[in-house]
Amino acid sequence: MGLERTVTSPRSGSRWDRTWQRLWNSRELLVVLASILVFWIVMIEWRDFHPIVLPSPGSVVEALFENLGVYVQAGFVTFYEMIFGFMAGGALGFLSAIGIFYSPFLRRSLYPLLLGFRIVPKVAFVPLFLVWFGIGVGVKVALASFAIFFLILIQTGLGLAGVDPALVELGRSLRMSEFSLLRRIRLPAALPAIMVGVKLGITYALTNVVVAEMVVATEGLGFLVVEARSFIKTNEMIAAIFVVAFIGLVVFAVGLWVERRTVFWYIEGEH
Amino acid sequence: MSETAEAVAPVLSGRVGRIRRFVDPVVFAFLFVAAWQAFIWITGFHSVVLPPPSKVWGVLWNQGDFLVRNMLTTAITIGWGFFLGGVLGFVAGVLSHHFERVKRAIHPILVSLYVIPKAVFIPLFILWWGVGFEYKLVVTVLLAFFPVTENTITGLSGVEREMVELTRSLRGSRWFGFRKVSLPFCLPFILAGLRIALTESFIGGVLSEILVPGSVGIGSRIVEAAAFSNTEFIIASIMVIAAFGIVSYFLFLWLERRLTFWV
Repeated sequence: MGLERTVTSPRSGSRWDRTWQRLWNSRELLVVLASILVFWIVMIEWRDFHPIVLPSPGSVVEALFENLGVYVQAGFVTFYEMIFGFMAGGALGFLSAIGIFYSPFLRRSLYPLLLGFRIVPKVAFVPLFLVWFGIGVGVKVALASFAIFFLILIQTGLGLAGVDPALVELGRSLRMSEFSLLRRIRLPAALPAIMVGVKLGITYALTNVVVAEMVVATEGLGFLVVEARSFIKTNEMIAAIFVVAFIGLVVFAVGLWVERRTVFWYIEGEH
Repeated sequence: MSETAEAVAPVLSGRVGRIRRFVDPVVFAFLFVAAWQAFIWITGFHSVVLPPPSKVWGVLWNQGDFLVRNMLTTAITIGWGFFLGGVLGFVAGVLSHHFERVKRAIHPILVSLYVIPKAVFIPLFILWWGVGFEYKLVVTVLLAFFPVTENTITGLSGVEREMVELTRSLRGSRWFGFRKVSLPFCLPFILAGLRIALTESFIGGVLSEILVPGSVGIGSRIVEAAAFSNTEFIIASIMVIAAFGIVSYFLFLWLERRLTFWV
């Protein structure tokens, strides 16, 4: 902003012009990405790094295309674990938040405990889930839903507590029952806070599933990373890391999209 | 900030209310443990699957010093990771804000790294730095770094330009304007970022140990206990981690309130 620069809008000119302008507008980023790649190649060519420590970019790309089928398969496993974990944890958190909201004692007693509990790394529970659910899908779904349970619970609680009292008064004066008050006034007003939880929750679900896959190591994308390490195939490991990173970006974009579509009125009002 | 317990709990005024704010959670925790113990007594649940609180207490009583010593090792990683991640995150945030080119160059990369599951980098770090302290520190710094950077950038971009320009027109140096206007303004944002970074540091410290069983620290002890299905030991360890976490969290909240008393 302080710097004099012309950021040309990519909406004008021919298609080639627009592409060129987009690239030009992100030139600094491209320079950094290119220099990382050059640095990587230089390290291998001149400093003679062993391929186990640092494989060449070419061999990583090769591993990526060679194992494409494996990644798709593992991606499906990770995907459905993530969805199950998100649904189970989210639904439980949402219902518990409503239950806690209607009990003044629980709001005073349980809610502070839950807030404090946020700092406990949920991954520490993986060994416990391992004993309870074995080394199958259960551990991963359990970890993901455990983490998301707290997130959605706290966000729903914040949302419900932040509802404008005047709206609730209005509903009361219209003789709404407590259920329709909840359905027509409280929950819609709390939706922006809940959707923040949903947006973060999708990313959370992926992270926790991948972490559980790494600890338990039986299947899925996290397992592929750990497995490549134990066979000291670093190029395959980096390829798998790229796949997870890519999926992470896609999942985050989906979260943003869901939030924009559901609480568009709130987001447009904000900006 | 709105994330404190007062935001949700109904306000109880007066001295009784203030006492109940502390007493009610304790009462609830006590009832929870009592219900857990009663559940085991009545149903005769298998104690390997779910040990009664009395057994967990036994582990805490007999092996408490062992657990705390392991937790202290982990706490060193967490502390250094939190500190370095916080400092680096703040510096990266300030640089990104003051140099438009730096921001355009690294901000997309930072945001991308923030939202992807960073745990997948851990095997690569093990390869590069071994399974010792350095590796755990790298993991913890990586996790603690991003929230601080993001919040620093958000805070600094909210500073009113007129106020900074006022200090310039009064012939204050850029550093003076930064110190007296920008920094106090964005301090609440930075502290909120650090609060997230504290939670992330705990994840980093424990996760980096869980992935290298046989190492030092409480995370490795938990994984080893899982191999023997020693559930009461796992639960006792989680309670030790929780105690350290909650104490440091409340210390941080207290510090936050002292530093940003005007909010």
